[in-house]
Amino acid sequence: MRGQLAPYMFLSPTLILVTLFFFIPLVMVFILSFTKLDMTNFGILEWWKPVNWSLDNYVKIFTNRFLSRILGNTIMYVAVTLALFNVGMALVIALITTHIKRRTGFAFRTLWFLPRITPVVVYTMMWRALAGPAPMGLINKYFLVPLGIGGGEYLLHTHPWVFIFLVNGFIGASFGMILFASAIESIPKDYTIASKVDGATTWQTIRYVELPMIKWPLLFVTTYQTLSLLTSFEQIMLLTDGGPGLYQTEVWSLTAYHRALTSYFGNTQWGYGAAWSVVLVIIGIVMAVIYLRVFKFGELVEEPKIDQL
Amino acid sequence: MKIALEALNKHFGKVKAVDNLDLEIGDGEFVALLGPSGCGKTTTLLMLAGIYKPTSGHICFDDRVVNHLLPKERNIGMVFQSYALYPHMTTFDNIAYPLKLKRVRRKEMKERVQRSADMMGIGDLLDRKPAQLSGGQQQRVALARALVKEPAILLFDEPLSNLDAKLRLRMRGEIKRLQEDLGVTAVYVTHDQVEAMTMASRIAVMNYGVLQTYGTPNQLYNHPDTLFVAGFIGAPPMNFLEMTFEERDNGFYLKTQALEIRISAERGALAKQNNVPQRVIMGIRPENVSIVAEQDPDFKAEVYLIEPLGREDLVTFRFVDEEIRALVPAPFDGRIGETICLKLDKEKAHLFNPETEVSVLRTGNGRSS
Ligand SMILES: Nc1ncnc2c1ncn2[C@@H]1O[C@H](COP(=O)(O)OP(=O)(O)OP(=O)(O)O)[C@@H](O)[C@H]1O
Ligand SMILES: [Mg+2]
Repeated sequence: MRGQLAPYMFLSPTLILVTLFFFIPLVMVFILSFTKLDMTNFGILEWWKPVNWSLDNYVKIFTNRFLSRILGNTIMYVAVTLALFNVGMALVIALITTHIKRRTGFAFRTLWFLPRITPVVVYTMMWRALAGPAPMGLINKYFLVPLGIGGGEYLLHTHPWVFIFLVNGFIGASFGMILFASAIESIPKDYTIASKVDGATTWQTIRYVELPMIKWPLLFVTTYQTLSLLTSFEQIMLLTDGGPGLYQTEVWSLTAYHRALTSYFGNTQWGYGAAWSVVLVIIGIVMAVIYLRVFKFGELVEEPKIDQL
Repeated sequence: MKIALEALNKHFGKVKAVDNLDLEIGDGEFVALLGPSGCGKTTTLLMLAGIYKPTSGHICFDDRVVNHLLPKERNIGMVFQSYALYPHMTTFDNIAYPLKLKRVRRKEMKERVQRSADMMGIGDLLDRKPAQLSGGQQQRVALARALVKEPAILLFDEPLSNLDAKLRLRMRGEIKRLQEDLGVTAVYVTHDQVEAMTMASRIAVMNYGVLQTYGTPNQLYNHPDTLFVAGFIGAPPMNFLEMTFEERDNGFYLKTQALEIRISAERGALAKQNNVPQRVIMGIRPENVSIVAEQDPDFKAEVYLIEPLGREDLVTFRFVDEEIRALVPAPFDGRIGETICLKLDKEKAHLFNPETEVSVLRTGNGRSS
């Protein structure tokens, strides 16, 4: 009996932490999303009782007049950041840095990785400083004003989306870059040599041989980054907080945060916010399933059919 | 297509992977690059293919310097030890790849792929992925891919090393026959001397990036130029004994503590002409050591080990503190520990200068006799 218990004893600290701070909140959020729990009825509403559960929050979400705007923002934010940066730019950097001298490539990738290990607030505040109005904002002062572009306005007000893409993209790209680069470097040299002897240019070798061989990391990064972009809101919150116009840059996860944890009227609608989160989780799951289908997951794990020659 | 390598060098930092290589390969010839691991065989091949740029020297195809040509401009087919079949493509797509890159029309491409696949006997495997093929089938696909664009030169980098012994033997014959039928110039890298001997019309032996010798299998086997070649070619390997060279009473003798043999005046004179030093290394192949009856042996030795090989037995003898191996007709009826009379075929003995490791039985043209 003791022998059987021992492994669980060793696991218990982690198990307790994961249960306390992940599984219980997960279940609670799900239950909360059916209740009207907020700051005003906290301690009064018996939210754990099914009689107090209803679909009202979900109805409220889907009849919200800003829903289409928030959804559109979310899709644009995820799609553009993903395509241009987290996968697109990551792939381009990985390809370039693996087709030049090894050390140079490695040094460049390390440099690119630095923002990721900078605290997100510091990093975002640096971008805010860059985007500031003339004469304080560096972009205005050293580029736009000398070139005579724009009137030196606060760029986060005039082009909020551009900065949201850049701020997320530069960090986001480094994740895919590292994974793609190591995947490309682990392709056996014989394949690329064979391809070149077969008559391919470097670009054709990349297109027909290297890219298909890093299908797995591509799938993984695309899926993982979609989910992480869907749920990330800290940079947007720090940059524009959904503004500057009404819901102009508000994305789904930021809405959930706003509804649940901040409010214009000093009352935080925990139940309503939880419902926004639950819908987001469902969207994420659906996206992941779609990716697996599109990338033909089944084909990747096909059984070999060996027979004697 | 004729190939000529002139003073070819490839250095990786301090490593001289290929060191001042001169080599000529005739049109339609099958040449083997033979040497131990790390001697620069693959590097030479990749320079031929245009993957590596030579550090210095020239590569000529038909008298045209091709150093600057890209791989795709060289019309070369290559087969790898790893097969290097693109795992995400079917057999058809693998074979068709060189044609696709050349923008060959779909219909012609289909015909040519089918033709090379049929030639390699894999015509019915075209829709399989490489992972669904056996090693031998994969090797055939790799060959078909190399052949489909009708290359002027075929390069092989140890193509048979990953196959089992029986299949290796069969593919060896097939590749040789195919090359002869197509008349394509072939360079075949191997560290297996039997493969080199059986397939190539000429063998270039390399060691530490340096060309040791270049000649027909027969020349390399019967008249090795250097100690390295003598020891490297032939299985079981040649015996080497350190001996003293002596000229007295109008005869030439080789001596150790335990034995003395007289070599022919002709060979002795040749050795003298080549400044044979007093101490020499005598090499003799196991098949040139024979067991004789009591009368007139060169020396006597004790049986130390018997290794039956089927048709023959490989017997290791010890005498004084030397060791010599002989291939004798099976079954060998001696017992371990028994003393046996042995004779050496003196006309087949090789003599090397221990300093320069070069044969002292070379004739004027550089080839040893
Ligand atoms: N890209 C490279 N960078 C640095 N050194 C290399 C490179 N390629 C080969 N070398 C070195 O050059 C030498 C010759 O290598 P090469 O691959 O030509 O040997 P090989 O004769 O093909 O050996 P093997 O039979 O093991 O395949 C080796 O010492 C190897 O370490
Ligand atoms: Mg090699």
